[in-house]
Amino acid sequence: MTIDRGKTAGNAGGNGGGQVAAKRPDKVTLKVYRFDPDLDKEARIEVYDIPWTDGMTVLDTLFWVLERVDGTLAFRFSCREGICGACALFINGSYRLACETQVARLLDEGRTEIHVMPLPHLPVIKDLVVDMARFWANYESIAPWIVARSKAPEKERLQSPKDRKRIDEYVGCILCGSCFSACPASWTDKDYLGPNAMMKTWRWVDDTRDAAKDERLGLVAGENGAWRCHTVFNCVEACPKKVNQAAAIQGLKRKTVSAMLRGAKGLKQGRKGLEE
Amino acid sequence: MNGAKGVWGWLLQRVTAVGLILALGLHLWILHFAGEHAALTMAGVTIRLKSLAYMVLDFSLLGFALYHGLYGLRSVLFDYVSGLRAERAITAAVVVVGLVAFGYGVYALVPFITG
Repeated sequence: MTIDRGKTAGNAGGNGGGQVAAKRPDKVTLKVYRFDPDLDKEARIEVYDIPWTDGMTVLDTLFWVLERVDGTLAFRFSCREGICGACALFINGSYRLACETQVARLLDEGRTEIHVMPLPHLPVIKDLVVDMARFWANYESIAPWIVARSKAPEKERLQSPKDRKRIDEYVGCILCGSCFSACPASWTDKDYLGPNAMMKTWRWVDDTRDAAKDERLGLVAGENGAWRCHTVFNCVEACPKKVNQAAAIQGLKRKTVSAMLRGAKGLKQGRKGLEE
Repeated sequence: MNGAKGVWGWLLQRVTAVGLILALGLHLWILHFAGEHAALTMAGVTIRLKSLAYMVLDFSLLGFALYHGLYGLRSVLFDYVSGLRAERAITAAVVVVGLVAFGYGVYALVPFITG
């Protein structure tokens, strides 16, 4: 797809494409959060002028800086196509994937500068790289794998397209950590499971192939789990993949109450019961 | 996290939310539209509070509001502490505040019954 700069929205990735935009500048100003704990006492913002080209993403601008200006700039990336979630950043005041965010789109939003910050409320390791240890520990704590108690089939455990569709949205989560970073209860309470771990629990609770639903509910139904969610919806707002974590957490609450009322034994067994 | 703790506490907050809507609606309707004692006068209030049904409604309203509000407050406070000990201290403090407030409400209403 070839687009003449300055004539159209210039967006091969679909972000704002198709609209006629005002003439764009030849250069964009990139403002990047920089912090090296070994050298800096305080974080600072570095400013770079980047020559803008069609199809350029925010991740491309970071590479441009890395390759031409400062090889010490630290940021995460992997797939470069919106699947791995590694490059989630706080760009121009919103949670976005750097690899999917077209510079053209940001310009179309009326911005003349691109502000790139690490995921807020998480400890910064260096520059745009944050410490995700708590996020991953919480994710691991919910046992994010299938628990099947029936005999293994010859080929695979089947699921109807209709049943699969029910969990499509939650399977689509790429574990970028934006929801966790955006959740106010996660900011202040270090014991809180956070929206991602609970949404992923719902993904398994609602999966017809899984056989440990009550045990899973028991893992998240506690003071640091589902009951702590204040339904602020920051997680939903932040998610670059449009996953509704709040709805999943509400589902967990409903199912837990239902399991409690029918006296489900699995609820009380915790992780040990899930691994038996 | 093990063992589905706090289910009943959370569920009761939802139940009291429904109770609040009903009790508050009824309370306001009685105050403004029901019968000849609708006017907000001391005599009208005294007559209303002689009624057992109205007294039950008022005590329910007090209980629902206290539980619902204090449980919410407890949830917010939990965001700022870490560890079981701190959480238990907050729960204890909230329970004491709730009981004292409910006791004070009873103390204020009972003279209307006995007087």
